[in-house]
Amino acid sequence: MILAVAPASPADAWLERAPLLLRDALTGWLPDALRPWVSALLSIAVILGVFGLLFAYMTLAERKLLGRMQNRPGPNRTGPFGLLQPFADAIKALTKEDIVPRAADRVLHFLAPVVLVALSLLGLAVIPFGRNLVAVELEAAVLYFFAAGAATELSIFMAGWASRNKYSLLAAMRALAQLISYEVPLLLSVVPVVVVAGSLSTTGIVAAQGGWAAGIWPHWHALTPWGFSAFAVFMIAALAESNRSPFDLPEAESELIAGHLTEYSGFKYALFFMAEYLGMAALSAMAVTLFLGGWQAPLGLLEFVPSYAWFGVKLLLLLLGFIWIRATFPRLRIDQLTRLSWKFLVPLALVNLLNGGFWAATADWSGPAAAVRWLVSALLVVVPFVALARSLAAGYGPRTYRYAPS
Amino acid sequence: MMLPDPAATGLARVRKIEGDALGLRTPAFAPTEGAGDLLEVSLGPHHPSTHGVFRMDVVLDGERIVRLKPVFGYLHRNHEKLGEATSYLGSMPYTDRLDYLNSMTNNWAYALAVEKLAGIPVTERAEYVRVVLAELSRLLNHTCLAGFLMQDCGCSGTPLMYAFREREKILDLFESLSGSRMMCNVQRFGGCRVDPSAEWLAATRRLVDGYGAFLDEFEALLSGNEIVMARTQGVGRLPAALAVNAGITGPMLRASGVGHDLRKVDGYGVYPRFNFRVPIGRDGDVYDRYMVRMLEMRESIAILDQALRDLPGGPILDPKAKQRGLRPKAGEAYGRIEGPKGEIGFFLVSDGTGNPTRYRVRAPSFVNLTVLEDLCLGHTVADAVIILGSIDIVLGEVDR
Amino acid sequence: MTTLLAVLALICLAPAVAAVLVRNLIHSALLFVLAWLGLAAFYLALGAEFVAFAQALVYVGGVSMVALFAVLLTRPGRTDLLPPPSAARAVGGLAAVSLVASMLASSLFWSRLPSMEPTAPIPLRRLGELLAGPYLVAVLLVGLILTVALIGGLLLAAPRRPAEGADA
Repeated sequence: MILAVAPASPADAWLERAPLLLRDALTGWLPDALRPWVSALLSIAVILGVFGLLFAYMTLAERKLLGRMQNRPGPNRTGPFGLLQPFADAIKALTKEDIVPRAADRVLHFLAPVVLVALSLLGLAVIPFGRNLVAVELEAAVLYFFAAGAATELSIFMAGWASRNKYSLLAAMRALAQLISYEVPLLLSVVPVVVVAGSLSTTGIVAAQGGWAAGIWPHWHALTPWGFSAFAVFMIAALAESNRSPFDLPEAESELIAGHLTEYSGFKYALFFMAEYLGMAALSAMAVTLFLGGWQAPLGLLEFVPSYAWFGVKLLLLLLGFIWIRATFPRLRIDQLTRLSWKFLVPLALVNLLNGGFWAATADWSGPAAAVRWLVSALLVVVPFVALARSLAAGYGPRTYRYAPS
Repeated sequence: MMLPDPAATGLARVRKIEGDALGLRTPAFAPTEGAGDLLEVSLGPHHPSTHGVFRMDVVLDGERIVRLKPVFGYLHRNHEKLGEATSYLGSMPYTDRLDYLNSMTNNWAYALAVEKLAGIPVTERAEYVRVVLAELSRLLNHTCLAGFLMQDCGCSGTPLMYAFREREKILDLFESLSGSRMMCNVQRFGGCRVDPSAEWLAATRRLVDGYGAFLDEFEALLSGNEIVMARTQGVGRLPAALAVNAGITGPMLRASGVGHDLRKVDGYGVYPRFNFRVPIGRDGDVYDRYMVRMLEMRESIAILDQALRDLPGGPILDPKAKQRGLRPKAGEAYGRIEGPKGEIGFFLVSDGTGNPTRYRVRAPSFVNLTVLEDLCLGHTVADAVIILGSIDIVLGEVDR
Repeated sequence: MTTLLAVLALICLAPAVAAVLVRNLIHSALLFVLAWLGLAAFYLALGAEFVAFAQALVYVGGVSMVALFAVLLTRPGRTDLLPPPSAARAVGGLAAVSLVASMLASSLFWSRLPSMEPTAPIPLRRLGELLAGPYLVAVLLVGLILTVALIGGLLLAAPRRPAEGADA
């Protein structure tokens, strides 16, 4: 029915405005002074609810998908298709004994998971989930996002150090080294986006990616040479920042038992998991915002689908990518991990900074000049990539084998 | 690190064993001038990557290993003394429990020792069946090893699950033949306890025909993977001279470039009738040890192919061959075969009674483990885990 | 506004004082993080969004890591854990007190306290132009000082191992 009477602008579609209408219906009867407060509380509740559920079902999806990729069914006993598994896990985590080692630093041991979860939620406030759906509109939203995420490493360190366990301490050291190293490329890969979009606000960056070249090629940043490079660097650094395989060194099950989580049990352990998934979701949401056009539809034809649905689809695709990567790759060693960052990602991101500047400076080139613009930008990605990859992979490669003379 | 060239001194290995490599004394750690704080960490006995109840006492400078002391014996069950108190046949099922992944080859090595001691001939069909079972066991062992090694490298289970899928198929074959998946107890003196049926042979043929495809799939995922190569190449290098001096055998020795394979050297059983090659490595690092095993599996498939093709009829076990109450003439014998982990040998001394007076197992896992510290020094904890994984130990055999 | 200022000052100063008093260096470092966060909140209260977030990002995300690394990697010498001789303590205390006193005095008596009323925030673009224009030299100088500090930290933390050649 909605399709039959196509509205003048997609922004006016009923589904598009549904969340706002709902909010107005809920807060409309309140006095004017209270309305902003209640509406802010509502957005907090919605974010907590949606991302809480997302976390619950991400754990299930991860276990299911990993299972399928490994020739096994995954959890399928609790509820239909195992759909109630996250709730069973939550009950289990809540009812388990909370063990704190006698030698542990009790205060920091307790604070670490709490701080971690709180901080990983903060970043979600500035993500525009839909056309008009952003909890807090900030001029320096991108900076806020990374400032909010900056302290997560600190809480991992706190967890590792406060446990007074040697595995945990090693994990804490690894976490520090890893997170310092990957904070740099993560931030550097964002700078060209800010330069090109000319804005530090997330809504501004999404707006800059609207429209289509030649009617079919979205103006998403990831679909330009410099943007693709920045997107790749961002996602690799995001993997490392969220301690996911192949960068799960602090947790390193086969080396450090469970790293900083070794001495955690019950609900605190669950909180760490929650923070890992929330952090992953927040970084993916930021990647969608910065590089994949945010809530924008990929084609003009598809604009009738509400914007928040597009955002959700893109977010889920990125999250599934995280899971796929986890099922595929072995883990790096700590020196290789830091080398990858400092000798590969950082130089690549620095060159990309130039590339972004070039792209911004040549925004008005058109016709054959536009082709030159694309070519130069592509060269600025490919040449450093090949050169850096060569030097990074020096010293190892496939081998051929002999057979003993008989 | 301070590794003396064993070829130059000839004594390096001996000195090491007399020292603390076997944990005979607690080493006093003297931190080098200006080095960071040393941290002593106990990896194991309850650790996901020690492949059983094994412990590595490591001393770390940051993440770099400066000392490593292997500690084992948690699984000691007096195997060799039990062998002296048990009849010759009675020890056969005990050998299953040595390297519990490869009861087939353990059985064979023990049967070979007793057959030598008592001079019992083996039937033609049994020789072929032994080869089939031993090579299936080699496939099983190397497949598991590759899966475990990748798990140690930090894969989230995928290679391990793929490996275990294939392992299950082989275990199903073992079960349908012997009645047990792992403790098969198949060999008897002069032949085998059970005769494979035509259906069993057909099922084995199907498995062998499909195994190459599995190896292709596995290698496509891992052997050329950048991270796998970066993690394993140049790590845990075992020089050929040290390998020979320390008595390393099996794929680990061959990965160091020494083409020593008992199937070729001794030519026991009917192995000389088969056409197969012995792959050898060059650098002796973890990657070589992994790849040598992958290539060995391909050769095993070739051997299985030929053995299944040429399998003769006839009895599997000479009914006149004495099993119970066997009393070999006084004397001694050493029977050894090329097990999946290396040379598995049994040394038996008979005084003419129903029990051996001396029963000794040469366990490849145990001997190969002695170089662990040499391989790990100067590497990180993460490397120690995969070096241990690439040595391929089973604690049932190390501790006995 | 005064209450807010007092609360923020407490958030800044209490952890800072505690950081000096506690004996555990890790606790000190973490308390400093809290003080830095308080400073960020202070900027936020003044309407300087950008500076506040930059403060949180750089100090909480970066400087704290470096500080923790420094604590973990440097080994206390034999004398570091003993209380210093009383003469040294007296000199140090005097220096600290006079420094704080002079700073307080200069800010109280010789400079006009800015109003706490939030002014209209400077647009980001303007801020960028200011930093890349008139204040460029200052920004570069700060960067240079930080680099020097970092290299100094590296030299302090790097273990004095014998050269690799002698080791092999």
